[in-house]
Amino acid sequence: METSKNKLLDRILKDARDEAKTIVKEAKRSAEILLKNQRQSARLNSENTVYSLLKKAENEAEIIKGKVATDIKRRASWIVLAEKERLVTNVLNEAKNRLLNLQKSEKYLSILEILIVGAGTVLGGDKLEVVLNENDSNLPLKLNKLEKEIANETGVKTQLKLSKQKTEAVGVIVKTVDGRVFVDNTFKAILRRRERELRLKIARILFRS
Amino acid sequence: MLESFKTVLEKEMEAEKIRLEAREKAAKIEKEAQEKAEDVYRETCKEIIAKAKHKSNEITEQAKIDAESEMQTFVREAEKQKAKIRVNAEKKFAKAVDAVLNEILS
Repeated sequence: METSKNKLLDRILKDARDEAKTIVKEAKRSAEILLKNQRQSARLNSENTVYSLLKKAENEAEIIKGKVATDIKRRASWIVLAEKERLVTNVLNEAKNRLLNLQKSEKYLSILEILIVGAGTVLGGDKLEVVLNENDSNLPLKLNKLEKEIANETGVKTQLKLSKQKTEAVGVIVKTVDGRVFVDNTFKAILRRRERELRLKIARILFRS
Repeated sequence: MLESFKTVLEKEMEAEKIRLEAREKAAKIEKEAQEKAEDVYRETCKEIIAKAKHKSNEITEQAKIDAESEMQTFVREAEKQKAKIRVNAEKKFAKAVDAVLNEILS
C-alpha cells in the first residue's frame, strides 16, 4: 500500500517535471522559430537592396570596362601615331637640311633658276624683281634666259632684275616691281607651304607595306 | 486515509508549482525572443547589406584590376607595333627624303 502511494507521488512530480520540460522546450522552439523568421524576413526584405547594390556594381564595372576599352584604343593609337609623326618629321628635317646644304652644291644654280622661273610664271611674267640672299646675289644667273622661259610659259614679255633687297633664306623671292605681289620660293617657305602634302607623301612611303 | 490525501495534495501543489515556474520561464524566453527579434532583424539586414556592399566593391575593384591589366597588354602591343613601324620606316628613310627633294626641286 505504501509503495503504491509512493509511486503515485513520484508520478505526480515526474509528470509535472516532464510537462515543465515540454513547456520550456516549446518556448525555446517558438523563440528560435521567431528569430529564424526574423532572419528570413530580413533576408527577403534586403533582397531588393542587395540586388540594387550588385546591379549598380555590375553597371559600374561595365562602365569601367567600356571606358578603359576606349582609353586603350586611344592610347594605343596615340603611341603608334606619335611614332609615325616623329618619323615623318625626321624625314622632313633631313630634307630641310639637305635643301639648305644644296647651296654649296654645283646643282644649286640650276635649281635656283628653276625656282625663279616657277615663281615668275606664277606671277604671270612682266616686270619682276628677284630677291636673293647675299651669297646667291653673286651667282652667275642667266636672267635673260630665264626671262625667255617665263615669257614662253606665260605669253607675257618678261623683264627680271635683281632686287637690292636681300633675304636671309636659301632660295628665291620673286615679286612684281611695285612689291604688291610676290612668290616666296625659298626652301623654308616651300616646305611650309607644302608641308601637309609632303607629310602625306612621306607617310605613304614609310608606312605602306 | 486523510493523511494520504494530504500528501497527494501537497505533491500536486508542488507539481503545480513546477508547472507554473516552467510557464514563467517559457514566458520569459518568449518575451526575450520578442525583444530580441527587432535587433535580429536589424542586425541581419545590416549584415546582408554589408556583405552585398563588400561584394559590390569586389566587383568594381576587380573590374579596375582587369581593365588595368588589359590596358597594360594593349600598351605593350602598341609598343611592339611602334618598334616594328620604326624598323620598317628606317629602311625607307632615304627613299622618303629623296622623294621630298624630288617633289620640291622638280
